[in-house]
Amino acid sequence: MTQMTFSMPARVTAQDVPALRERYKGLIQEGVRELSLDFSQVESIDSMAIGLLVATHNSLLKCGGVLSVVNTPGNVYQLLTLMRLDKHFTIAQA
Amino acid sequence: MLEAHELTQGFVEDCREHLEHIESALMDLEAAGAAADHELVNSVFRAAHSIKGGAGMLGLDNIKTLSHKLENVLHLLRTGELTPGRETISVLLKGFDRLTDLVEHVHESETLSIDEQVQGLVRIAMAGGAGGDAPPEPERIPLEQGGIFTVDAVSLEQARAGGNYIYLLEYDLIHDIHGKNAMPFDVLKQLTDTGRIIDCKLDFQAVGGLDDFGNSIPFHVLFASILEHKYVCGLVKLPPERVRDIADAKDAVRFAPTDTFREEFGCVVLDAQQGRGSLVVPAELTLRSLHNLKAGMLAALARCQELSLDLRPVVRCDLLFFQLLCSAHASFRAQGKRMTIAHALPQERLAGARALGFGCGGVGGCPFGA
Repeated sequence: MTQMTFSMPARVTAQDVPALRERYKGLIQEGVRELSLDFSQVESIDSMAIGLLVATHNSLLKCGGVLSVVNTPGNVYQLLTLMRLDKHFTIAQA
Repeated sequence: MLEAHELTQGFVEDCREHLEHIESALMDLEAAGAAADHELVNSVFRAAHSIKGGAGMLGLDNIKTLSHKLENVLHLLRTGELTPGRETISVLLKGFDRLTDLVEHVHESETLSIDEQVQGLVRIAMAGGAGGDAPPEPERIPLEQGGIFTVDAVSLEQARAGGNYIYLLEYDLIHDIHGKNAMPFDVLKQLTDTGRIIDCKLDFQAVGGLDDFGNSIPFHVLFASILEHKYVCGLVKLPPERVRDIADAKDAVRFAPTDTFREEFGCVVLDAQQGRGSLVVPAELTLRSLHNLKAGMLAALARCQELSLDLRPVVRCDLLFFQLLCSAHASFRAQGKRMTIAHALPQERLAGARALGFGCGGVGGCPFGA
């Protein structure tokens, strides 16, 4: 499976979502099936960005791929696991 | 700012303090039986509770899960629903022994098995809470938009026993949080500051994929609080109809048998239509997805006459997955039900399974098509 790690910006908010969405769609179309999002720089994440994570997971799942979120800082990790997203895809702490 | 390894080391030291006197406390509880000192039970409960909290913050899922299950049994001892008899104390001792192992090998703790201890604790908890040896039956809350919110029965009962009201908060992340310029972290923090989040569920199916996402992100929170309904509505800034009070209606949230439903188990979705369930098996069969798959299969076994599996997506799997398929097939047959394969494993996986000796030699519905 084609694997790729993608670094995320410090703040992942609604205004970043359209560009990221097109980027992820492009990666999946190019054949990436293991997409790893590096959250080491991420300080905060809003609702639309959470939706983007879910939509990316769903799109990858549909074509037999997997999403993982890695190097997740404490407060963001706490949020994502509190929302139980870790039941659906891997979320690894920094 | 503390580094991760310093936080972990601090956690380990705290755990050692909490665990230091557990064994003698449990032995004292067993000796006292029904007359056990309430404060002694509370002290052991608090130890498990503190370890669970610390492990949750550090992402140590095995330690968190095991301490949560210990906490559930200890809660039943606190409320008098369970007496500290020999078997209960023996299971608790084994659980705490394993917890000590995990703490002492904290960096490998995620790779160490806790299955045996968790199974023992769940069995004791359900026997105590349900008054018999019935298998754990989660509570199921039907959602307005369809689907079911499945929640661990013991956790829900614990929240109720604390004198809390139980609310189902029906958020849409886009309209109720993003649309009000709020951040999800702040919203959830406010909830944990004023009550307790029992569980959450984000509707993955409703969100859709990258091509069609953007209209709605339904997010449900099961929230326990001593606050009355009107105050909770003000606090969470949701209209009253989307703050469902289910605290006083225990029977209403018990699962009402139906043959058509949809239930999520993490990444696994069980779709049932008129008693016929179907599951699409995930691409990667990790321990987590296997656990979810097993939960979905058990739900189908309990509530469907037939289960159909789509095995096409499977990309990565191992012996455990093949064993699960075999066990599920045998369990359905043993109950006079059918497990069928709508779409077989990809050829490479199938060949791998057969090379390992899997295949029932012509028994109908064999997952390996032998």
